[in-house]
Amino acid sequence: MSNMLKVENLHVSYGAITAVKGVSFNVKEGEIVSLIGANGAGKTTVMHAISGLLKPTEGSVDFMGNEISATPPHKITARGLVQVPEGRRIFAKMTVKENLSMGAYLHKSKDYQEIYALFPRLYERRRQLAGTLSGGEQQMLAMGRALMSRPKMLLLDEPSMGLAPILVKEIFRIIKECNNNGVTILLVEQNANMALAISDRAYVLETGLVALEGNAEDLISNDQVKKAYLGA
Amino acid sequence: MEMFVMQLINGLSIGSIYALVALGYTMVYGIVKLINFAHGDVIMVGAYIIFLLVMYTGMHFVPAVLIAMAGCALLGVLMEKIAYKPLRNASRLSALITAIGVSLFLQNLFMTIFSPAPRPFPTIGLQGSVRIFGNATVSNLAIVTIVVSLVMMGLLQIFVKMTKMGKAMRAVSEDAGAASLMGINVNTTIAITFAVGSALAAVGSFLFASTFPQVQPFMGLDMGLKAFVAAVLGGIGVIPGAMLGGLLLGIIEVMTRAFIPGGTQWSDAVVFSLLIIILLLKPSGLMGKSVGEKV
Repeated sequence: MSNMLKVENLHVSYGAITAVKGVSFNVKEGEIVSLIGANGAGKTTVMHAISGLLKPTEGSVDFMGNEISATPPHKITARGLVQVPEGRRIFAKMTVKENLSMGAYLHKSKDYQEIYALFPRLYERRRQLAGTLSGGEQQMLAMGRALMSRPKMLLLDEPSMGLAPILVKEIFRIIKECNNNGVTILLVEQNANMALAISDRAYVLETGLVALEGNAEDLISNDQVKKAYLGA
Repeated sequence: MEMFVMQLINGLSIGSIYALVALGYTMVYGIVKLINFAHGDVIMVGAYIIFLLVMYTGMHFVPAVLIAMAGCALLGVLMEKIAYKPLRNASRLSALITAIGVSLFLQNLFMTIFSPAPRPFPTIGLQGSVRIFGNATVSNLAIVTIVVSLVMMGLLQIFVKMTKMGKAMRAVSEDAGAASLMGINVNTTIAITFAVGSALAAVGSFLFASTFPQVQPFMGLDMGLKAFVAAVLGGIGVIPGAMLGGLLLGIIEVMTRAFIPGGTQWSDAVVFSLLIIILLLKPSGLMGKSVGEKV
């Protein structure tokens, strides 16, 4: 399997503060790869640098053979690399269906059925304003909206944040299902247990650097990871 | 009673011009959180374009207004590209001061070219009036103004609600970052918002200059201020709010002039006092509401 995404020596700064200090990793086609780590480790910053919301100060981001670190976000989305941002960031004053249609902004034809099949709740609520949805429904909408753009690869930033355990399970089941349907996935999570359970490989970030990397199964049984992130 | 109905229609007529101009303020604010103080001067530029075309080329009003719409749209886009876009990540105060700068620039540019002397705006042949009942008459111009404004507002609503670009505009105004992740080109969307707002202002400038038939380089000041007040009154950033705010403002102003003794001098004071009272009671404006977003 070839590399779909290859990040090398990534540095990202906010003014004088360097949040990411030389992170390298790769995601192969068809994989689920997780970035895990504590608050402030730089996970979201890495995500934003890949999706184009932040410009890296140094390093390269290669998506399917193209350097994208200087490409604006809307063009990265057009290439099939789509981020579901942390905190969902759905359009609260638009209806559920309008939100989904925004996801398909780049496509002439819009196929809602596939998304409604994956998230039946969204079909029930399609005429409601998105701001009136519950947290779990909003996460489903954020994911459905991203899937409307028919991505080759999804960047999921903290999809389980603030959700009840039963919903977390549901969201992770859907992530796995998307992956089975051929979407490559890069997942950022604080919920390391859940993330490692569905991932092929994972990278552990600590203060802007990769501290550990390996197969998900190996990391689950790694003592260091257990102690720091799995609460064992 | 007849007097009241007549003044009500006059108020609606002035108010619908305010509403058209207020839309430009509110749309731009909604998308880039900037009070574009040069928006009033776009009206002035639009009025000059129509004035020049009709007076010197003998063009009919309809194509002249369409050209003015295109010209103002271009002016709006240029203004954004040159003056506001470089400041998009600067503090809001810098952008606001720049907007005042653009406004002064346009006023002085036109004063240099055309002198500060007011020029008579050509009449459009709607001097007559119609009787609606009893002795109540309404000028044809007032009726045309109301109809044209309502049609423009209706078209805008359709554009914003139904079209892909209109929806993209709403998406960008809610969360530009998230919108860009949908593949929406945020810069283009902002430019189109300026273009649409400025084109509406051009229509407003035509109606305004026909109602008070003269053009001069500072004509945008008063109009711009009133329209800004209308936008705030209705809830800045909310499109139907600008429409409501404009109509209300026009009616209140005309009614004060007509029914309060010495009201002509008082009308602005009444209008602005009302603004203060409404904002004290409802700081987000009549139709502005802070939509609670669940997290």
